[in-house]
Amino acid sequence: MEQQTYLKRLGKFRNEKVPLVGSTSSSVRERRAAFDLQDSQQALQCGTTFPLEVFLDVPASVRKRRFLEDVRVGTLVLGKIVNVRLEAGLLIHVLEVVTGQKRFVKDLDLQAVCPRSEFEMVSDHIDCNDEFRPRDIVRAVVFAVDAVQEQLSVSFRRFRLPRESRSLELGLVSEEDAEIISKRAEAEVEVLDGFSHQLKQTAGFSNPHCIDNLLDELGVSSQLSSFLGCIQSIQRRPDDYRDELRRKQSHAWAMETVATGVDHLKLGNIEKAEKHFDHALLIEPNNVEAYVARGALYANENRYENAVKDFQEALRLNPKHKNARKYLAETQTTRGNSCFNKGDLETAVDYYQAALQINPDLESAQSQLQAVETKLELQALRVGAAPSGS
Amino acid sequence: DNEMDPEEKRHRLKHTRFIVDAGLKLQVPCICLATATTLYHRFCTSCNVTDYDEYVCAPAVILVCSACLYLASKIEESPTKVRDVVNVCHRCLHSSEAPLEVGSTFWKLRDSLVTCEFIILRTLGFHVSVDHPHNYLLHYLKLLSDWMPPDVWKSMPLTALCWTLLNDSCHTNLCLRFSGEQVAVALLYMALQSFQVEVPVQSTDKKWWKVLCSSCDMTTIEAISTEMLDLYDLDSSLDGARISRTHSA
Repeated sequence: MEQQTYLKRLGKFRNEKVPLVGSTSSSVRERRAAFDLQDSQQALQCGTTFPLEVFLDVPASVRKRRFLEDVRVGTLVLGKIVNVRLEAGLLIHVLEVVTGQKRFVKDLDLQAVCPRSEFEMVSDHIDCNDEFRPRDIVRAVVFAVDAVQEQLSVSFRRFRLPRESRSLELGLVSEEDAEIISKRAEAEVEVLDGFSHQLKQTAGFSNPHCIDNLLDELGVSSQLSSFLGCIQSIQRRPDDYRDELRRKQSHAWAMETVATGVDHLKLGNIEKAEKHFDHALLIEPNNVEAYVARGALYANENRYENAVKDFQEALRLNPKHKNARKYLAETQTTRGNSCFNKGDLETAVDYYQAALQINPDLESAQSQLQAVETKLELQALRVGAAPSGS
Repeated sequence: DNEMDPEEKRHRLKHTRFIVDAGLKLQVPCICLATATTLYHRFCTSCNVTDYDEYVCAPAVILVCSACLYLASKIEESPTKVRDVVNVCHRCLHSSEAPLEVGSTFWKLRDSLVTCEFIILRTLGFHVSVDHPHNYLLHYLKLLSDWMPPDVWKSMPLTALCWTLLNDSCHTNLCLRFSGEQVAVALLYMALQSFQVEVPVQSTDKKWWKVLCSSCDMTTIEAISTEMLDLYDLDSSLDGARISRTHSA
């Protein structure tokens, strides 16, 4: 009875919920195309174990049949050359599958044939007796499958490679790789401790990015998905998100800090005021008011260089800020005046011109500039007139 | 730690929903939500929250949920800033008001959050590592993708279904009753049943679920699947609006 109810409920689940499942992305990443033997990083993407069929104790004959049914043209395999025939080509014992579905094949006694016509032509004639020897390890691409004869046809010709495998080399593998592959082929299959144990002890299993790597490989987004109405009903307004909340809060906090600083400034508490303005800029680094207020503080304290820097920064953030323009022009004029009084006429001109650049209508700067320029002209005349006497 | 009665389940669902809501807006990864809800479930069993008047306790439990989320983000190595947790959690509860400004309320909430985090750590005896089903289940799926006939594999969004079940499972207390591996196997079994697909080549003595997780048997699988079906039934019976209104209590 209980089984009945359970199955009925599962049927309801199947009908109501399962059709809602988000589809696997249509651009499902092709399985890892290049398994680089020497790339230890790739091995650590996630945990690794023998394929499932090993743990299920599936008989070799069944595994062979299923492999031949499921293997796709374009799959890369690794194998050991059994026989070299001058005319016919190579007879290869398949050891491993490199791309596509990872199956356990080394004990299947699976044969692959590589006809002479499928050697990559490097020179006009190739003596395959010289290039290939029995016991050599080769990498080849499957181009035909004969399920009846239980045989694969493989090739070394690059044009048969699918796009995602183009980076792999075909033909003889390097000596180092050959050694690794041979060792693997001879290794005993240790499954006594069971699947769970094997999985947990591989380094890749503890990779914190495991979940993301596997989701990526299996073609599913890591975004939250749910069948629950109470989760789907969660409103996702941009205003409620972390960054937006922080931004608004920082702005309000900074403005309040500046306001308090200005109060301090009015009361004459210069140090406190400066601390507030500095803090406001820590909270919100592009707060224009803080720059203007601090600039005004500096100007009042005759720290003109700092003042000008702050006003300029304020104007960089907001070129139309009225007070920033006003204060900057005034400060430059004040600097001009101080130079004029010290007799440094040329620098005074620079400052007045800088002031007028900000505010061409600033009368004080205009009149001062004129005064300086007149003085400079007189000086020039005097200098010019002196030698000739008269 | 056993099955909860429906009232308790409903109560907890409100809180795990809050955790997911806040977690989404803090933009933490899904695994972090799983850790946060696990910590919440563990905390609930250590001190009986429902003994208290719900109205009085509500703010306190929400604080616990917020602190679980904050703590979980550290455990799963995607840390969040305290300030952000305070802002987002407050916003979840007061979404129609102006956002929280830095002032006395903010500082009080911040301090409460940090204190609560420590209370949770102490209550759980600093045992805060969680063995989630997610990692196991994804590895199983990878194995299946290698073994299933390719056209069968492509015809069903098995991974997507499993990922959805994993996300939803955090609203149950399965994390307290079963191991990560057991839950992983059961959810996979449930998903395969949903598509009416079998794992190829079953021998009588080597069942795939037993091979993947030796402590698993049909009783376990059915218990876990039933719990998930109960969750979906509970969700259907809820009035969606009411659940979000209770947040602002």
